Amino acid sequence: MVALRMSQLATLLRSNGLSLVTVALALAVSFGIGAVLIAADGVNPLIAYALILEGAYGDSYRMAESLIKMTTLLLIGLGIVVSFRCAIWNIGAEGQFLVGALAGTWFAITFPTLPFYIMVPGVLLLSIVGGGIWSGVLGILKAKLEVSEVITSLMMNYIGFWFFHWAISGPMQDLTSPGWAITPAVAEAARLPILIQGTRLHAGVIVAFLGVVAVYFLMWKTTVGFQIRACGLNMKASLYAGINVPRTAVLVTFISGAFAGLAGAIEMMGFQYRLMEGFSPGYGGMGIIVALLGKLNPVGAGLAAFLFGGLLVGADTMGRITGISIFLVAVLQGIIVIIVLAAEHWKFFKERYALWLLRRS
Amino acid sequence: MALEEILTPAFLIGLGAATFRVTTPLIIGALGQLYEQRSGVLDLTDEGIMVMGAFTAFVLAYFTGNLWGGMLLGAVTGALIGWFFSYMTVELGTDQAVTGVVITLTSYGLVSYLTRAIYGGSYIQIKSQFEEVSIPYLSDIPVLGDVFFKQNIWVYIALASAPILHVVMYRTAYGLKMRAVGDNPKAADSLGINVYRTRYISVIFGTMLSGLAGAYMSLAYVPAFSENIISGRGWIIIALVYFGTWKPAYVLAGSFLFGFIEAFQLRVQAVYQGLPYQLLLMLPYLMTIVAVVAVAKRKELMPAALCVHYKREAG
Repeated sequence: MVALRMSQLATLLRSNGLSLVTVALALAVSFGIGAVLIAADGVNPLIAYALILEGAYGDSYRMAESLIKMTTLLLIGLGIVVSFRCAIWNIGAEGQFLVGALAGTWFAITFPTLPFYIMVPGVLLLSIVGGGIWSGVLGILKAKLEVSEVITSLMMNYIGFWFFHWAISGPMQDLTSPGWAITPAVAEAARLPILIQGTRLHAGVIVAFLGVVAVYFLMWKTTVGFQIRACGLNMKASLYAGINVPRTAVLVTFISGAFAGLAGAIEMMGFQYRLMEGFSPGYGGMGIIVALLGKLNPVGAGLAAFLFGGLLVGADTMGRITGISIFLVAVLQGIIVIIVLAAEHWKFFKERYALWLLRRS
Repeated sequence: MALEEILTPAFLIGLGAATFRVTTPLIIGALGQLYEQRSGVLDLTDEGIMVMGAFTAFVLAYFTGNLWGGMLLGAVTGALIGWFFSYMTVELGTDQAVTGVVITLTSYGLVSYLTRAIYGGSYIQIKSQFEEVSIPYLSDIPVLGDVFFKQNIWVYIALASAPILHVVMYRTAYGLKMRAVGDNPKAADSLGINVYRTRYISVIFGTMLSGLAGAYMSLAYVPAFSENIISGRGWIIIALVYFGTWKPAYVLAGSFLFGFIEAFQLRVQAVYQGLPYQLLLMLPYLMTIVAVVAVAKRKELMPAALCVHYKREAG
């Protein structure tokens, strides 16, 4: 019995070992290129990276900050995992994030006197539905009219951004700060409790972990999840097998939008407490990268989100000291994913893997 | 102020002239993307390439004053990124959509980073730009002269390139190979056409044009650079190819339609206070969705192998 478990573990490690190697390679290359960029700006890369590490995980406060960023990225990434697994390339996470946050905040501002047991579920529900609809519309277009979800979701990002901007400068604007695109702060009842005193770590991080479990359960332990994965692997075969592919597509776009909207709600309720210009510094795009780096796996996405959350917080601290722009993080993230994507297809790795398979059989 | 009061002759003439200026990068980019898609590659790097092209062209022109050099550098930047994208998707076989989006995200990050590293800010102005060139005699025609014949040189170049690219696509051997590879790469391969090389060429050509379009934005459209300079035009360009059902003439027409809407929205914003400006800004993106939905059911016009990686298999 134990021997069986051990061999299963060994297989798991060996088959994923290749992935770990490629991730390590990707990190090495991206940090190398990052070092060049940092040096070009007149800073010692080694010092910069040390500062990033310290800034991300140096003490409990910093670790908490990293976890807060991880929460947002992970929630968005989970939705994209579901969507990409179905081969639905939903790139609209940024817009869904903003619209979801908008819907939830609207609820909180319009009914500021609600008790928390109505307020919190209300905000969450509206955000989930808001983000879900913003995305689900695209799924319906794809299912009924075969419209490319790539283009529509990208456009909805911009439409969502301007809709968000209009709302927070107009109907939802904070009247005590005229001229600023910002909403009033939401009531105490709409704010998530802080988990650890002295930090800003909020209950949203629990939601993120629950999300990982939920997505894992959905995708690998339910019939719907099986259908989703089947559609992603081979749409024609799934059709012939009787799976309702169009309906699955709609469901998947709704789910991914819902996750993005949820992320928006959590970000607002746990961290920002209001909406403003710059509410999202590109979380949507980062969420996509998190999902890709996590190999479209909820646990992988969690690890990737943890890494990138730390990178964001660390780079912010490092940037304050050295003057290096935080956009370095975006570059590092992109390069990491590109290498990981390429490595999967490199002949070298393919041949080694094939040889390994042969030796095993 | 009512809408009728805005539609004065002066406004309309200005709108007409502006339409050409606004449409030019769309034409350049869309024709390039058309070549790529016709050969079977869906290139989502356009947005990223445009911002990189705009940036590199701007930096060169800023420090050397050489505008044409800037445009060239923009084109070269586009070609280089296109070569890399081609390597990833055509040769290695990574997913075209995912790779394109990741390259775009990385490009945006790189540009934002370099802008701050070099200039310390995110909006920079430049002293020179491509000036208007008035075509002698023709530009003196009232109304028409102002609209058509007083544009910067790139407008004329873009308009001239459209029929040329149409001819290349339909009347040359290369154009035929390109279309064959996009519709049925296996058959093309069996006839001895090198699918990989054909796709490489069309992608690098298309991305070179995208880089050029980006350079246009920062050197001819406005004499300035900001990381928001492209704001989605790259995506719209991709949609324009869909909207034009993969035919050069329709892609050109579609570009003008979108250019007109954008020029209109820009001018109305300044004058008409009735609508919040954010709603006007949404227009081009809404139109893009409408456009893509409108042609969605005409799938038979799409290159059959679009976005499908071709793998040469034995036998």
